[in-house]
Amino acid sequence: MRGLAIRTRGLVHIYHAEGHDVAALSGVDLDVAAGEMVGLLGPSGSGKSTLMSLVGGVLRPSAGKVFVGETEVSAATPRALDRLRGTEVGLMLQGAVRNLLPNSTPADNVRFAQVPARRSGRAVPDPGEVLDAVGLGRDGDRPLGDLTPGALQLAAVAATISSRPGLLLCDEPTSQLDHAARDRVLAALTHVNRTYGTTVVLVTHDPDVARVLPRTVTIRDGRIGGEGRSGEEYAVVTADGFLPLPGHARDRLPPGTLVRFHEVDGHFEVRAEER
Amino acid sequence: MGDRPSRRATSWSPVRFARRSALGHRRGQTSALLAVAALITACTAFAPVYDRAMQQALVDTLLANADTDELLVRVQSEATVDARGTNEAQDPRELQALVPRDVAGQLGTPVLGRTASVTTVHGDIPPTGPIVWREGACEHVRVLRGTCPDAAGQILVSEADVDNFGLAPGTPVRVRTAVSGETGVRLEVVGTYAPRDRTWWQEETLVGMSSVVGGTDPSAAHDAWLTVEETFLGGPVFLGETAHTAALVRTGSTDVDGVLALGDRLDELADRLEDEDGDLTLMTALGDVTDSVREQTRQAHRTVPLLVAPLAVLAVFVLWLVLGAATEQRRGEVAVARLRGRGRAGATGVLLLELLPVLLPGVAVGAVGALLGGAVARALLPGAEPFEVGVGYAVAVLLAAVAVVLTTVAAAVRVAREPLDVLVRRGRTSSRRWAVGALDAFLLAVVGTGVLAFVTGSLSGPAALVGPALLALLAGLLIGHLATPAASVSGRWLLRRGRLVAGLTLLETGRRPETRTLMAVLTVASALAVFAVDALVVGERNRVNASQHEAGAPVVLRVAGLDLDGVRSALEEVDPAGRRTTPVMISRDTLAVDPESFPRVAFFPRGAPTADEWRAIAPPDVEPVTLTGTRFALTVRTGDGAVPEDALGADAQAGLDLVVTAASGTRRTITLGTLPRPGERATLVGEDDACAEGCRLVALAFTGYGGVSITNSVDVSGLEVDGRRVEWPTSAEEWNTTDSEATFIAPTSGAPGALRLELSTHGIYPAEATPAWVPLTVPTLLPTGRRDPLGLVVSGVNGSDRPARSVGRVVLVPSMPRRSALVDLDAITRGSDFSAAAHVEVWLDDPALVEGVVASLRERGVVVEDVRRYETIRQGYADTVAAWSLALGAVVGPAVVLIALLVLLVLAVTGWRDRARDLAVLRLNGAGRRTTRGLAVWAQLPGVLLALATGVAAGTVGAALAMPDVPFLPTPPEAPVVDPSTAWPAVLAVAAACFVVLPAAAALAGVATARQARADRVKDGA
Repeated sequence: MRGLAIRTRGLVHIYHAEGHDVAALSGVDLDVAAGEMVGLLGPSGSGKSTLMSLVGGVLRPSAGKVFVGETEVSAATPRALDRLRGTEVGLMLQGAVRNLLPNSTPADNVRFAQVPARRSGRAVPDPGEVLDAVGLGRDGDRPLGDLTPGALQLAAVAATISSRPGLLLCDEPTSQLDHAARDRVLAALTHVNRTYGTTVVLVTHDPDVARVLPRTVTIRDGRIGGEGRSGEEYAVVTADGFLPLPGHARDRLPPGTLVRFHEVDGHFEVRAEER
Repeated sequence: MGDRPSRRATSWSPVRFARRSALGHRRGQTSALLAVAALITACTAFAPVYDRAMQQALVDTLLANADTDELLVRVQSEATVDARGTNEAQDPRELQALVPRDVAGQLGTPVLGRTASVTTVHGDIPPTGPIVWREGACEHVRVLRGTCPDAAGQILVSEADVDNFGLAPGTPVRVRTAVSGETGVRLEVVGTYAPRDRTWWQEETLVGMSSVVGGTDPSAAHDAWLTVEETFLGGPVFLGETAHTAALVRTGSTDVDGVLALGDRLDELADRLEDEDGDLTLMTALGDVTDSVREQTRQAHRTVPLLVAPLAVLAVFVLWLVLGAATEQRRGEVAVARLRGRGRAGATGVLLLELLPVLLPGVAVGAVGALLGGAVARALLPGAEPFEVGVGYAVAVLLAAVAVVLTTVAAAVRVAREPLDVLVRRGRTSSRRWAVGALDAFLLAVVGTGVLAFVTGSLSGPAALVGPALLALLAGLLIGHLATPAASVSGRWLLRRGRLVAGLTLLETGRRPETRTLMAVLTVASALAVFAVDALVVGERNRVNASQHEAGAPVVLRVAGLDLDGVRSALEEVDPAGRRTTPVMISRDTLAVDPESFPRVAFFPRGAPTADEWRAIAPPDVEPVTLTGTRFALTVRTGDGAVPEDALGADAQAGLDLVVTAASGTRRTITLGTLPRPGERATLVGEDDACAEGCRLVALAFTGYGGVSITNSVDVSGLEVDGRRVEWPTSAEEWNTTDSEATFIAPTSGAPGALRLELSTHGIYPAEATPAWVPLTVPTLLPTGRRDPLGLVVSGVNGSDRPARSVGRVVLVPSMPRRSALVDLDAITRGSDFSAAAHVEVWLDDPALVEGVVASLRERGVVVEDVRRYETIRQGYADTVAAWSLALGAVVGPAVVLIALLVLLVLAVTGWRDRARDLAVLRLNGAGRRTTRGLAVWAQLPGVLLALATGVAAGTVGAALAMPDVPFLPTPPEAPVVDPSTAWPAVLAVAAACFVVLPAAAALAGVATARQARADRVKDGA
């Protein structure tokens, strides 16, 4: 299976809380190419997990569109979304046990996750092969309660990729893991990305994780706040022409600061006006 | 590290998943689910099983207690003789052929026979009696002399007939036939017999009838004469000649359906025979048995569901609760299923896959439990028939299974249909505790309407029996909805005043989402427990009431004849103190008793008369005038009034009699002579041996042939017996004033030693002046409900009505119907003779006295005709469906308390982690162990205690309202024996049990939770 691309346009999501509404995303335009491995960064409450949920079809956007491959997720029927999650999109929630049948084994979880794909006639790998792929081959039949946190997270990865989805969405897959476990999980995700061409999008707070990812997208205040590519940080101009400042520039350009753009030798220079 | 995953298992195994979950990880929950499913099924299936067991017991009891007449099925053909000619009875074999094969299969061996009534044509007093032929009769009698008949006209007679009528073997007898004018048929006695094998003879009376009665109306009867069939064939028809086939219903192997079907088939057969031939008759009383079975079964169909249905509904509610907790615990699995592409239906399937394999075995366990319960019930109920399972059992099990599956599906769908983002969210969604949901509002409206109808009496009959459950449900719903906000407000108020434990406890009560459910369940459970046990105890009390009322006393002997003095003498010998036996006279609806001994012996189940009331029915405290002798003289002076006149106005003569009663109770009139003419004086003399051994003066009677009118005064004095002056009352106060439609006699003061009577009488009956010893009106205790707007009269021991006056009320007059009267035996018998309208009974308070009393009576020539025993009647009421169905209360009461316990357990098991974490947070914030333990223990107690108090109150009120509609007895009683008032000791005992067991369980759950309130709980929940 080839990887699936992601495309969001003007994505807005508002949570309706008691007494007031909260805008979690305020117009997100994001493109992730098929087979890419992208990290979503940003502070807590910035909207990373909301974006993941919208892409995975768990939430419906208040406005805007989401495409996964050729499917417009934001307009798909519940049945189509179920089919999508069962075959083409693997969604891994934060906290390993939330992704697993609790009274079971990693192998059974893999088998359970493969059922929709099998029913739709798709070829799925042998559960042992899936577990081998994430490095959990020898622990496949052990009860989940006997596994370490790292092994549990690998089991969750195994269950999520069990039907060879084109898109793997992982919310904080390395949180609360020690370094060794974190590295094993990252290695497994990288393996999946490289071996099967699966598009991987993962949310992380961990700078070490972000550093090894080929591309990172920073969400800030419900918008794309910047991008990192090969260790370089970029600001991203939005479709409506806004340019979020990178973090270090924000400190120097507090809200209300007047700036002027100057084109110098083919480059733009941003200069703050003295008041 | 483990081995590599099995390569054989590439597919997910639902069975393995279900097994692991149920047996490996959630054993406690599995047990609870299994137990509740079993309970629901057991409750549902036990109702028809118990119903069936009751029917079996009822049929067994009725058949066992049935006499031969009730079990006999007889097809009879009667010969007729009329103007058109003679129509002989059909051949018994043809009659037997009319009985359908299936009916005959349920009857014993048929006995064919012919019977007629014959009277001899010779002798001073020709005896009449039956002549019978029964096929094979000779094998069932002992031939004492001669031989069994083997030719037409030969008969066997009893030895009594030989003695009474000289019918020795060899004697010819000629008997009349049905056709007048014929010379009769000649019979010949060929032997004598004595019957044996009463069963074969189907309890038919053959001997004991032979007698000759002389006197003015002489008669004679002979015993049954046995003959051969040929005697009835070919010759003239005898009087009342019939042919028949008769068989008894088999009682050993007849089941409920068999008896009911047999009853129906016999009804059909009776109709068919009547339609086919008017001379054919089906005679059977089996219909009484089947009617009783059907009637009592209808009762059971009201009472059993009344007790069991709320239990099953409560169990379903508890299942819903348990399933709610179970599915809530599986939200994570549902979320995983949805994440992995299962739709709502697929996620529901995952839940069902895990839950149904646990619940359906529970249904099987419950079905077996119901069978075992039925077998136990069958063993406890009377009768020997083996335990049966009817179609109702299968239907009930199926219903239970459907209810369990539907409830499970509903609970699974409830969780699985939640949006995925809600499912994957951490923590529970907040509940709107203050809002009344649509379902709650609907329930409250429906239940409230039902309760309103129940309380206002608009519900009647079977519908009224659901009233208590509705009332309990309404109370539970209301208390749940009102108590939670009230607890929150009170908790905050207390916290503001520094009452930490009390404030937090009430806040917790108001905050917990399960409080409302818990309170509703506990309210309904405690109400049902109270109602079930109250119904049980009230039922028992009313059966005792009915038995005591029907019996009157532990033992009652009805004696032949009216020899009251003989009875009194016999009792005095056996019971000199008069404390354990008492004589009673009953004349139609009047019960005449001895106020000294009767209260000690008789039952007064709904309250006895007071001592004042007993004194009030006593006769006048006046000594009677006793006359002993044969010659009586009385000096009479007639006043100056008018001459007596006859009905036509002509001068007439009036006579004066003495009216006396002999010791035997017979009333006699002693004629003294004609009244002297106005203004004249005479001594009237009469002779009679009625008072040779003593008698009592009852009245002075003024008489005239064909009726006479007297308007005058009469002075009477100088009463002498056998020449001796008798002291007798002569003052006006010592005589009654007679004031009736035709007679007015006023005693006034006359000359010293003389009684003056002012008379104004007309009509044909004697006008009587009675001494004050004879009560003019009989003081009477009446049943509470009796009303006599036209004036009160009671039936005297002579059969005629006597004026009476009410001196008090009693709910029930022992053994008497609703319109009856309780009078003093002495009062009602003074001056009265006894007639056949009255009979004498002896009431005993100890069955051990029966033998002695019977012997003592026999010595005085008094024969006991019938014995009535309280224990027999009591057992009769105990062996009824009404009693057995209410006995379910003994099961339902504890069962609902167990269900309530189960609810507490489930809530503790499903919620302890959250509570333990809350307590751990408090501990981290400085609260002591004692404080957190107190909070844990008291967490549920306010709600539990309030719910129990509400439930007990609702159960008591519901019982009080519904109890008048509960059938306690097999048939509606004729007297007000039913006392539906609350059985307070039972209610208080149930309330005490609820208030001890359930709060203790809640407190223990709290203690266990407090022990888990460790610091690491806070981390776990983070």
